[in-house]
Amino acid sequence: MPATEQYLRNIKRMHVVFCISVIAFCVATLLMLYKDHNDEWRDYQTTFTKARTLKLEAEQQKAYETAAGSQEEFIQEKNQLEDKRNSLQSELENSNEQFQTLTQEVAELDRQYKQQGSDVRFKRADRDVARANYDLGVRDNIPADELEGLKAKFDALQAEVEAMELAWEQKETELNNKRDALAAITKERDEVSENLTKFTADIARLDDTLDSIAPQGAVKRAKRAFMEWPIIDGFNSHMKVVQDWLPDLHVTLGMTSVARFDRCRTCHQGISQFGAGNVAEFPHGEVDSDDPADWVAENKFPHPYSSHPRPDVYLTATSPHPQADFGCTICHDGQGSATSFLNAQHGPNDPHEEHEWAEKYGHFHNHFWELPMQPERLRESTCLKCHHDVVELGVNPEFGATAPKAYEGWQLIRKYGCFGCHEINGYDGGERIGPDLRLEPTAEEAPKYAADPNMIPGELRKVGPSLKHIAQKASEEFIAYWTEEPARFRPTTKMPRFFGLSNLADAHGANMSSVELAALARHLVNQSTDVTLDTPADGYQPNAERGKTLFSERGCMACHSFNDSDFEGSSADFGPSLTETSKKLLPGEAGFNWLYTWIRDPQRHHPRSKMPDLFLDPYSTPDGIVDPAADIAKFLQGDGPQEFPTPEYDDEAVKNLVTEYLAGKALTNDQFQQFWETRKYPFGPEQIKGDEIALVHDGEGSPNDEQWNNMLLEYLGRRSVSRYGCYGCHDINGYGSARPIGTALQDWGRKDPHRLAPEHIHEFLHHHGQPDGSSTADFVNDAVRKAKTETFNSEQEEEDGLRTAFFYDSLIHHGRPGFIFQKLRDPRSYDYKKVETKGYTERLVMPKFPISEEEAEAIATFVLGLVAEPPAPEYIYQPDEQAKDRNHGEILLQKYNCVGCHMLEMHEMEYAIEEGGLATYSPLPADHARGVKELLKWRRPVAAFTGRTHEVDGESLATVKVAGLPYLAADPEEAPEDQIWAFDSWEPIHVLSDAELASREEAVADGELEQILSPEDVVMPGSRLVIPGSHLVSRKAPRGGHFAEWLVEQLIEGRANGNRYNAWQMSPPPLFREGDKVQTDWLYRFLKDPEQLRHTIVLRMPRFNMSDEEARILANYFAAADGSPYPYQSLPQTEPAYLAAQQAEFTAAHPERAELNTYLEESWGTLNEQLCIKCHAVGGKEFKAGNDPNVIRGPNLEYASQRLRPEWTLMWLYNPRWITPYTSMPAPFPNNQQQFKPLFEGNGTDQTIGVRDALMNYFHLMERQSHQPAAQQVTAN
Amino acid sequence: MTRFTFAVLLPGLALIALGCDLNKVDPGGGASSDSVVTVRSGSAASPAAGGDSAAGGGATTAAASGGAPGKLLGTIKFAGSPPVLPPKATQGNAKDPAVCAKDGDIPDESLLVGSDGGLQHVFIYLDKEPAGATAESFEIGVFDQKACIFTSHSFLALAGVEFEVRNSDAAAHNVHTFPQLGAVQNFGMEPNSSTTMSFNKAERAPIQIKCDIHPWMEGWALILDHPYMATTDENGNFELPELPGGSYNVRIWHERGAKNGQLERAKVTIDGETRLDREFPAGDFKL
Repeated sequence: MPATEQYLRNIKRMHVVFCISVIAFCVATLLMLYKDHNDEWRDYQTTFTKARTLKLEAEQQKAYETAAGSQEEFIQEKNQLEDKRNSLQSELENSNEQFQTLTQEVAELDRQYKQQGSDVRFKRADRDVARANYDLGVRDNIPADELEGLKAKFDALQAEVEAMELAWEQKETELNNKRDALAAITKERDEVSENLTKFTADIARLDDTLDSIAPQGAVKRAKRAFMEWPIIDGFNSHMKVVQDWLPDLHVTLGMTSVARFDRCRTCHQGISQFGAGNVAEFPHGEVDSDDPADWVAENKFPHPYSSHPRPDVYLTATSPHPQADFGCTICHDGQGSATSFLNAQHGPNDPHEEHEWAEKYGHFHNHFWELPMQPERLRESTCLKCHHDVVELGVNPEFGATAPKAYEGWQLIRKYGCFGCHEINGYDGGERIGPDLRLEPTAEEAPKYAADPNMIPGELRKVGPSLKHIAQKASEEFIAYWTEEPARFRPTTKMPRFFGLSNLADAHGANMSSVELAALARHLVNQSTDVTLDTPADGYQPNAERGKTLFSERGCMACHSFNDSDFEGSSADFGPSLTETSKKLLPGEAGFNWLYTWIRDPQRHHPRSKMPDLFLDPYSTPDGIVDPAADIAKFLQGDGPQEFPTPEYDDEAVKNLVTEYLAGKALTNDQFQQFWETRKYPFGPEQIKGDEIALVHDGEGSPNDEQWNNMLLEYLGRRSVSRYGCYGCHDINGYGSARPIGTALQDWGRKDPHRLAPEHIHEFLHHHGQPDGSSTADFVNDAVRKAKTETFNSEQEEEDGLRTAFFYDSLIHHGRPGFIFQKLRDPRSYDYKKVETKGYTERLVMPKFPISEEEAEAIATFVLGLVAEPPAPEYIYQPDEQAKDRNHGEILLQKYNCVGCHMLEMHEMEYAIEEGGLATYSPLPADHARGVKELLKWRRPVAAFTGRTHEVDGESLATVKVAGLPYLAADPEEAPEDQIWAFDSWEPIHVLSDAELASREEAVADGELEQILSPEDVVMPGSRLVIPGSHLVSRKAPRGGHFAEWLVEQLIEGRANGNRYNAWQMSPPPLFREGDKVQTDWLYRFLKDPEQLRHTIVLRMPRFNMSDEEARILANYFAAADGSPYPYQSLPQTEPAYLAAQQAEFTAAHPERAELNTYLEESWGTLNEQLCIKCHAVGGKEFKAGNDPNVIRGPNLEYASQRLRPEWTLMWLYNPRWITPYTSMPAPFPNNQQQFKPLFEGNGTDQTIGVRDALMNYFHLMERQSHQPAAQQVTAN
Repeated sequence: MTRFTFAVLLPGLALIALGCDLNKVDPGGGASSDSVVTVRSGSAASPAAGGDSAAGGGATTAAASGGAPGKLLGTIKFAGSPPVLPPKATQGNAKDPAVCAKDGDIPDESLLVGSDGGLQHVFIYLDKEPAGATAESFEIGVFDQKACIFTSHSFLALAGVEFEVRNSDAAAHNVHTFPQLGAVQNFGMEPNSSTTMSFNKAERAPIQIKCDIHPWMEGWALILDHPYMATTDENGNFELPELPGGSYNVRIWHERGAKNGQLERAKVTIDGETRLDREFPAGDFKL
């Protein structure tokens, strides 16, 4: 068929169609490009760039001002400098012949020098070839003459190289000389040049930065704008997704674990922007404006533009969490790869915020993203992924408390013993996966752990008292009464409530619970065994009045409280309140003897008790023997025991409960029927493994009614102990191998929400839920409304309202946080309308703890952080040895309540001072100048100035901060302007400003602080600071020592006769920088078995139930906390080299004395002079005091060389007040007196050092003395 | 034996002294090395110049009402029969028996009442220095320790002025001061020795001085920056240096006074020789 001109379609129409489709495709493509390009993050980046530009411009303006006063002046000055430089330059070039000649000469010499250098290098290469040839010849064993030839070649070349090197060096010298000559001529120009660079450096740097983000030039600007175009922006545009790739930090997505890509910084552009000194470039703050100019003006930047808080802890390279290594989502959770607000899964902190976000960003609850970002209130939970020891999050000398809420949750779990039922196993096999909170093995389990080195035992003691001997202490009636509602008997108890809760409120529940209570009490009495009880000596009359004094003085109140008007101000709650103790004890002598024995020897009753041995042994006084334990027991017995009702229960209910446990389970229904009728259990004891053993009658015939009843109660008691898990907190005979009854929590933070059983909780909270029974739903709606209308009455109300709202909202959405919060708040509410369809023994048993909602939130924060997903080991917090000892020691300090008695951090006062008003050190006549210097070297002074100011009478004054003990509190009755505080500082402080300190540090190369400071810059420890009431800014309470402070006030009124210092000497000492003071191994021994050290004190350091390991860690703790060397300390003062040097110095300074005595003999003589012996046992001589009870007796000096560190001892001897301002010990050898001549010719400084050395060589000298005839003894008479 | 006599300074010097801050309570505390003490002389010190002492301790009480100058004197008595206090140490129980209490028991000097009720060791002092006052002289005694007793149970001293401290015993002592505002001092003294000391700051009330080696050794010292202070003798009598006419706040203080020692804060108007006689009942004391 021939070709035709015809087309199948109308070509014209086709053109139209084609044209339309092209346009349509084009539009679609453009639309696609637009859509693709129009990401919300670009807006954030644009805004951020704007803010940054404005900030830089402001900084530049400031830089102009600092440099020259204003921009114009700066330019003027800059131009002047440039002109000057140019004119100097042209003057040199045009009219200085020497300059021209020299320049040319230098250029020529430089050329030659470079040429020669290149020649030398070539020649060296030739020489190296010759050497290699020779070496090869040696290897190949070529004939000697050939080898000789090769050697000759090498020698020749080597000689050439040497000659050329010489010439080259000479040329260099020549060149340098010429250059120096030239520099001498151009000196003026060079200086001007340098000044110009310096003058413009800051501005130039800012110019460069500004130019890179907001260029002035049109071309650059156009280029920058062009780079923002679609497609073009793919070629390294300044606008781009910022991505942190974290290959070692995996995230579990679905079923697989992949590396993290965090793109958060795409929008949060300022988050890791920190200036010099880690100062946030864009500090966070809410400004009521959308204009970046306002943000810059106020230096407050809203999200997402602001910098991260706490740069010392996060993001900066010097922090422990550098952004490059950690990214964002490891801590915050959420979807790191997202680049939009919605996809990132931000976590609203409460429903009100959620509503706002919904309006602004279309935020909604996304059930499909498993790891939404942690809301602010739960943020700290993620810290636990890496911080398995937790303690460093709460107590940290470097960073302070960085995760106080998670830390509080951890503390609460330890306090209330949640781990007794809910094990938190920090190990998966041998691998550490999270915090470890498990009970220590029981006596029954211990051998298993001992046998298997791969099993890591738990470390926590049960939180409740042992019930193994309870029948010796309390009656069955009391046990039932107490268990029913512990807080009814002791309002401050931490024991939770099991009975009388909402799911037992129905008649059936109530009936059955009374049976359980009776059964529990019966079983506990039945299982109880007896221990031997002590009694006071025959005929001893305990004195309750004296007992009261002893109770307050001997340390009981460091842990326990007792309601009595004489004990006001004391509120210790480490141990139970003892107000009610007397009521629960068995009546008469039985109760008294139990109490007496417990007080004297707590471990008899409970081998793992935390209650220490307080050394309450009988002692004799002029008025006869005093048995403190008996007196205290008498005092505590008070009005004697109370009577408690006999537990009442319904026999029918007993049958019901037994039926529920047995019928259809251990026994068939028929067997059970038969058993009930015959009272004969169908199996023999050998066939029974469980609690049913109690149902086997061990007597002849069938049990009578009483026996039958007892058997049933015993059986039900056993079942109840197992059902409620009582053994999780208490030692009970027969439950040594029982397992915790609750859900393990080590990975609860990742528990599949679908496996939570909210039951009818939504319905419950709709109608009930609040403590007063009203509707939680209504409460929450009200709170959200108040948040919206900003009508909360107080911040507290807002916090409480929105907290409940958040968790309610979470629970409604089946979230873990809501579930656990409600579980803690009202554990039985999940049984709402469920008891109707459940058997009694299927009802929930989790008890209600006496915790607030705030505490519940803290616990939830902790538990939600238990995810058992440890990142790679290098991310896990691995403390160095020192930090480890500090952290573990911290736990022990809490475990044994060391802080109950001892102050570990002193009071702190911050106050304003007038110009130059902080009187610095001016020597007292008694002070040794050498001692002052040595003290400042030994104990680094801390800065007094805080950098803050305080307004007094309209004048802004700098504030300083000092640590120590108050001596005199302001009298509130005085007129305000007359009020003063007197305060003893305990640490040396320096009064230099940061700037002054910096400039001095610059002046001294590698300057240690003690080189920079002179005594005039320092307030010495022990100084009395007087603080006008009007100048006081704030007071920080000390850490620990509450009991000591309370006791001091008591003693001032009493025994110390008004003298505060004496009262402090009678009380537990602050352990301020104890690690600097004592030797670690001594402290270890002391903690294991504390000897009596101080004689002025009214109590003794008790002996704690502490393992060797614990004593070791605690001994290390103090040294680690103070940065002192440990665990071993040397005593250089006992070494021959030191002693020889001292001897030489002694001979030189006191030649006449040196003829009579060696240095150590002279020192020993000083130690044994008529001073130390006045208060101490020393030199084998007993301390003699007559029998005056008020006499002040110091520690036995025999122990000093084993107990004290030599540096501390020396400072103490120079002036004890520098260490402990309240001490009675005088400065023994004042500088302004010449005492005890002829020893050291009366030189106090030499005597001080000598006595220290004599103390350190004490045993050596004692031994030597004992071998000398009496006539030659050096002790003075 | 050295005695430090405190002399009147010339009016001109006094003016200079008023200009500086010596008497201001130093908010920083600590030891101050300033040891110059001034007494203001009435003829030269104008009331205006005396008004620089808001921080306390300075001269603010103006001689306003213009009575005749005169001395303040009087008698302080204990009303009723005083309790008999047991000795603080006896020959039987004293430490260092060869030195201490060797001539008899060591009495409790904290409440010494004369036969007609006169109370000894009561401090009487102006709480602020009078403006325009002229003090003739003031003599700080020797602070001595003899037979383990402070020879001056109530001691008067001026801030910044040195005085002699002596240990006349054949046993070591230590001198431990318990000031509220000044620097605490605590130094040892060998048997039969002597040294000097001074207090660096004026106090608001008498302070305790103790020997820790012998716990019964206790005395009280009042340190002021003006000499208008006195203690009562064994009959309860005292006498203050002459004051310009006018009204003054006078503190009466005794170590057993129930309110931190203070018995009364009396308002006294000087118009010629003025008497301040008081009789305090047992209830005013800590007994």
